[in-house]
Amino acid sequence: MKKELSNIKIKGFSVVEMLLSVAILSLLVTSLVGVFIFGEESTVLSGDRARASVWAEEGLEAVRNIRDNDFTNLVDGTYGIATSSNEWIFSGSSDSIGKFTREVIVASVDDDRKQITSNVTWQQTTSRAGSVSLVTYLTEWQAVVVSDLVVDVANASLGGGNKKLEGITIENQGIDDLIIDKITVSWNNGEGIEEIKIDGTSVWKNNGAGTPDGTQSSGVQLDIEDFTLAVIDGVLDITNFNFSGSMDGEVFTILFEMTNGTTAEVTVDLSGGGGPTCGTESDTLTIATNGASVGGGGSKELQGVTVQNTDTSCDITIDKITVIWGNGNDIEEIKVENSRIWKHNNEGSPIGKQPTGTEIDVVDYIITAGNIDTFNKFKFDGNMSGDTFNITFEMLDGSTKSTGNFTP
Amino acid sequence: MKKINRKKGITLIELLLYISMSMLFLYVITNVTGFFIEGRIKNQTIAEVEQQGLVVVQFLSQSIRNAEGINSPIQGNSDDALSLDVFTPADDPTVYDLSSGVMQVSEGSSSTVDLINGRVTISDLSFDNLSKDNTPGVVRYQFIITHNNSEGRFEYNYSKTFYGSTSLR
Repeated sequence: MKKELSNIKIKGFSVVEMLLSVAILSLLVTSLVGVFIFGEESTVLSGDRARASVWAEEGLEAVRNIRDNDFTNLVDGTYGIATSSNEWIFSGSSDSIGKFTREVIVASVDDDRKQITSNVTWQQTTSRAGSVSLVTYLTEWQAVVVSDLVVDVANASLGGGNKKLEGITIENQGIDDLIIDKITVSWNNGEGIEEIKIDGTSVWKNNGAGTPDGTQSSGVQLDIEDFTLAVIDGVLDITNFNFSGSMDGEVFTILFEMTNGTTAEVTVDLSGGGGPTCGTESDTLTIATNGASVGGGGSKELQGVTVQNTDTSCDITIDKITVIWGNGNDIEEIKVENSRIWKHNNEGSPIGKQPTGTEIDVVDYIITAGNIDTFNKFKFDGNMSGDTFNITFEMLDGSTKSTGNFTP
Repeated sequence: MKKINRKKGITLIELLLYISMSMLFLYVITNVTGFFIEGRIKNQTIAEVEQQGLVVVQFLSQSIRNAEGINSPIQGNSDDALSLDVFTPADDPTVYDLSSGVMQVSEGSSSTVDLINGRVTISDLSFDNLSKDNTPGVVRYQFIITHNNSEGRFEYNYSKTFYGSTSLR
């Protein structure tokens, strides 16, 4: 028994040993194989990621081309991109190729800058999604064509038997010299232009400097003898534009083209002898309070006061507003046609909530000729139900107009 | 006698056991080694295809970005070769095309240079000029890159399609 037992014991031990070694070996091999497979999968995944990046970049490059065409093509939103008539266009909200899905997000930074994000996502394993996100900023670089040339036509007039347009001045407000290359003058009557003199020098003449030769009609581009306007020159006179006949009552459009590609255009309106004559602003201002009401949250707002500019050619500018009311509340804000023209902690002056009768210097508000504009609200810090108001508007020319007492 | 007989019997069984065990062991080792070698080659193959593809994309995008204009394909057209108008006179024009599966570039009058090594082949190369009017231009390129695999073996079987676009600046 003893011997048999010991024999069995020895045999059993070697089988256990064998099983153990096989188990350890298989564990080792399995883990090694696992590591290896994982490594290979990583290589594949990194390849996917690299190709996704290239494809995401295509999104940015396509948007760049769309921007190059016209900055206004970039409207905020989420898009897919596609080709139509062999051009890149925005299409739908995403696009796909193989397992990759791409969306391009256009967001505004400010008026001339957009943030473009190109997101590519894909299912990299059954349980994990991969994603690549690239961001760039695009600007409206083409928009900056504001010329350093400032043309002042305020004192423009006709002289020399109404054949000469005089009194226009030019100034270089930039840093570098400007070279005026071409001038195009447009007007309405049948007369022709014979000569342009800047600062006493003839830069174009029908039988002299510049091209084309001969008296030219309205709208012809005149290639003048290049005129260099240095910054130190200050304000220079365009001595005159000489015409073949009387230019009385004309409206001129003058386009200056500089060699650096910038342009400046001005309009000289001599119809009615130097622009429309505008009367006293308050004479053409009509105020209506019959549509006014007290409303808003807590009845704190006086709404619906309208102002009408009855003149058809002159604008009215509201400079100051004085509101009088009965109770002890203070005024906080004035808003007209959805634009805030005074707020106690923001636009206009004075700063702070104001009591009744205070003259408020609002942000100048222009009522365009012929327009009827509505004051969205005069906002107060308390309930204004049943109160009586009196609003006085002071225009830029100093004239005033009041509503008289009214109870909405 | 009994003792001797018993010892001999045990030795034989032990021998058979040892042999079968070592055979099993060898079999497993050989297989695992084979798997590792095969896997290593596959890994190399994948890396080769991805890296060579990226090299081509980077060459193309750098050239296009710095180019002055696109000679061909013209706006709205597609072609299997790309000719760029570049600023450096000696490199003008820079032409990318495919010659028996090898991506090549030639700059100016210089002879062509291969962009990829001999282990991969490029096919279905196409360039689309998708420029909008009045823009510097944009080129879309796509190609399939495949590892050479004349004997049709699994570990060399890998192929990927690359898509990209680049705008001129």
